[in-house]
Amino acid sequence: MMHSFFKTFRLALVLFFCCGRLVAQEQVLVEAESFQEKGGWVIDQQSFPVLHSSYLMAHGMGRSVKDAKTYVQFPKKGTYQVWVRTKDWAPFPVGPGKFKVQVDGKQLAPTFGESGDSAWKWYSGGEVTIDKDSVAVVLQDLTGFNGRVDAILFDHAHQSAPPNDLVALDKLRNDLLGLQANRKEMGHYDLVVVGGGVAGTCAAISAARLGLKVALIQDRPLLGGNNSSEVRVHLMGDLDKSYYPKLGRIVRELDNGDPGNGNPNAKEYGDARKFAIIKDEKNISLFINTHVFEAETEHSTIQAVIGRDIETNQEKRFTGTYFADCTGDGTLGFLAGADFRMGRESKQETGESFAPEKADDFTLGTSNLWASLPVDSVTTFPETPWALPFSDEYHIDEVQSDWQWETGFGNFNTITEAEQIRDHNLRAIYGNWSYLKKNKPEKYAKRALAWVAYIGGKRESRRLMGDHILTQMDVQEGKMYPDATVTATWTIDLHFPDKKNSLYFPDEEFFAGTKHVRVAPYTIPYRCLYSRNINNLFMAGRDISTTHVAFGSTRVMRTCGMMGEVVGMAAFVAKEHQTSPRGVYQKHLAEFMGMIKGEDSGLSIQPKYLQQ
Amino acid sequence: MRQVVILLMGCLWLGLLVAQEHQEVHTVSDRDAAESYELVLVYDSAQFPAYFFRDIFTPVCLDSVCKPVRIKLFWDLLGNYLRYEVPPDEPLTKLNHEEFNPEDYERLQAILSNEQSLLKDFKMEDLVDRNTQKLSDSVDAVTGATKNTVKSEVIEGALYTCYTLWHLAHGTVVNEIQKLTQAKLNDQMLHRFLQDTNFHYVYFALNEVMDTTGMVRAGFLPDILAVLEGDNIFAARYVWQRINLQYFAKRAQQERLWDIFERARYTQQLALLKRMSALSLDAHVLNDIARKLSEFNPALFKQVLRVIAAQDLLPPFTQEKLLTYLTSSDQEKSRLVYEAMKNHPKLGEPFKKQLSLYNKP
Repeated sequence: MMHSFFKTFRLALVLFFCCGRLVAQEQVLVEAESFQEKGGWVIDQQSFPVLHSSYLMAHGMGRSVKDAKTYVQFPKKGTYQVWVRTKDWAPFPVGPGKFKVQVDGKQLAPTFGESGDSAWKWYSGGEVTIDKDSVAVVLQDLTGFNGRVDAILFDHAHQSAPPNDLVALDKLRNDLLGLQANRKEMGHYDLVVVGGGVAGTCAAISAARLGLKVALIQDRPLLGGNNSSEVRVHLMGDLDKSYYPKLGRIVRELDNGDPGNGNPNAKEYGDARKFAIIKDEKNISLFINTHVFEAETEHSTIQAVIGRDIETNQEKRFTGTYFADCTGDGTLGFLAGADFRMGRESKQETGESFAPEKADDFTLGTSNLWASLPVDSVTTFPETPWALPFSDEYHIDEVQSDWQWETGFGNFNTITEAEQIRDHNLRAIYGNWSYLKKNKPEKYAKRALAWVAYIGGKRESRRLMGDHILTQMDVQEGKMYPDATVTATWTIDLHFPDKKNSLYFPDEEFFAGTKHVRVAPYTIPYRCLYSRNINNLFMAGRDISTTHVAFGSTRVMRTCGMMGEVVGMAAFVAKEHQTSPRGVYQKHLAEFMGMIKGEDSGLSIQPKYLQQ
Repeated sequence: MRQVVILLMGCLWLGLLVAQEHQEVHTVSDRDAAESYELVLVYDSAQFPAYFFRDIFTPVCLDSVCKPVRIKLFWDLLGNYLRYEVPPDEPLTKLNHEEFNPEDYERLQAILSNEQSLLKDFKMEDLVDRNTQKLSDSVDAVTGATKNTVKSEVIEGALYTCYTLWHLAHGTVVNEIQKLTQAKLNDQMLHRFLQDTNFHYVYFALNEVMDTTGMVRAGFLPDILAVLEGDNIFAARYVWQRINLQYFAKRAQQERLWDIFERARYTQQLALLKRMSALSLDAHVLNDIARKLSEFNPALFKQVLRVIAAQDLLPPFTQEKLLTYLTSSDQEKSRLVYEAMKNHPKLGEPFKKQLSLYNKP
């Protein structure tokens, strides 16, 4: 019986790959993010959970960017139907993201990105004749206003339009790119940290310095997340009020000073410093540009995670003893089936005075910061009829953004609608800037946009549930639990749409207000830093186990970094005792807290670097 | 001849002078300050009220160390701060009598123009460290957490000046101006307000001439429609959200509305469509709309379909047009038409038949 099954299975497998090859000979798929020369186009992976792919975008702040170019190998010569997968990102009624495609030096007839349709779709580019083995394909941006391309398909068999349905599209990608077949095994790690923001970077360093073999997986080319030069949010939360002076040392190393939010000088955010520190850690294997999209879980224990390179689409599999979700979005926990919450709990559920009467989907929003700089001569900026409208009556008279530029207060899902949120932010930024340039020349004629973030700085998404869920009462009453670890100092800082902005842009707000509720320094219990139902999953960062209200205070990055430090130590204790994150709390709390307090001598176990 | 010309020019100049300088002085008593001051209303050359101003001579600190300020503040007819003037020989000064530089004057205008300044919520005492006030007009004298907040709202070294002038510009004078304007309000002024580029005037007049049911005072409908199709998108939306739809009951009115729609910005088009479903549209207008369906992007197409589907009766031409989409190879548009029309009670037989065939192999 079993033998027969394997025989059938093997046959099916052979047939599958043969079919794949047959299809592959007829169709050539070019992922735009894999173009050899990107020119001025940038890779955007923020919508990977929705699109299952990255894409290439012409982010030129209103000036068309340099062409992207790649060479495509064709197995057969002849006529091909060309399909371009794109969208009109601002169909109000027609967006500005226009671009052309050239194949072998000839421009395809259609102009893409101006369909008036916001859905990602395949658009016909007409037919081309291929008479060489290798042909140059060029993306030519026409506006600098965020035209985007997911992929280009050459179809020799002239079949009907490629599928837009996600399951069929995944199969097409897999068949034509050999994604699973070419998957690489990356080895086994004591701790696999998913997410290279401040929390993840600190977790990796902390664990590595205690002798653990660590994989640090980050889905962008830079470390630091919201504090990287791609987002430019400054580090907040105090380190000097900590109950445990040892915590925060790694955060201090990463801290490059305070340039404020959205500083036009990218160097201020210390990307190089972060890389340099990680480079010195021999126990850390760093995997940048890798988006984790799958988790293998057995008996509520994560065995492996699979990531895909956001540029090459090379898939990589990492096995591990422990995993840390430092993704912000709770991506790994979600993939592994961890309990999570998103949105606000009700007052009845949590007993919190700041909670709403009814639970809802409200979250804090996402910022795309921007800045302008003075220039020598008068410059202009294009008209933006597709952007949000501004007038003398309502516009934001600022040369640079700050945290208030924020979209997504429950009206957009911060994960599944991340692209729409970013695009809404861009429509606000460009619409307002266009207004200022045209109508306030005395202040803005000799200024130009120096930088606009195309990577959104998210504040809130999923919160993974641990054995303890931190509440407003924990925060305000300063409860010291036996497993008290990170000291947090930031106010309860829950943003909401600015009232005036709501008046002019109802349900389309992009500007926030807040009311800071001060708190005395309080501590976060270790039980908020591991999953209550996934046995080997830690969390650090904004996705730890808190209520929405408590999250309003824990979410700032120095505090998140200290969580990472704690997770690194907990992973060390767990490994030494071959126990779970929960086991550390239940069976080895004294030793663990000894480490947190810096009482190394009191430990029954010693970090390897101390033993040498 | 030359003398005549000079005489004529002189008369003209005198006339202009008289016309321009027609002013009305109102004495206002300030209860808070226990004093009265003169508020001047200036008329324009057509003898309409134009703006208010007040000459101010005030100390700008809590003691006598700093120089008093001589300044003229200007407001519009609704008490919105406009600008200031300072005599050339009496410049404003900062700490240690340092004169304002051109950037400081620009900054002052920006500060005074910000109606929502944080200065609004502070009392002078909050901003002053009692121990150092005699020595400093610096933000650094501000204690604790307010320091950084206030820093962006004032000119360093001129904290008291900014604070005092902001409160003069946005204080009780606003109410006094509004009272004076209200007393002079007449239809002519309201017509002018509705056509003015000052959006404060537009909203003020809209609220005066439209009642809570959206009915418009006799003689003002053309002005209201002009706002609806004007450049101020926010005022246009304001009108559309409030105006009584009985003004769009007839064919000619609906044709004008559709004309406004076609020329409107996209966001305004969406706003217009939201309420158009409530109108009983004339057959000709419906046909016009159906004729334009091919020009709309998917989002507008969907909204326009909602308007059409909300109509009790659909003329044959409109139904024919919709049928072409229902039966077209564009699956998305076909689906949208099917979804919009499937429950419509009064469709012709051909349409009903196609609806029944939809989704069948």
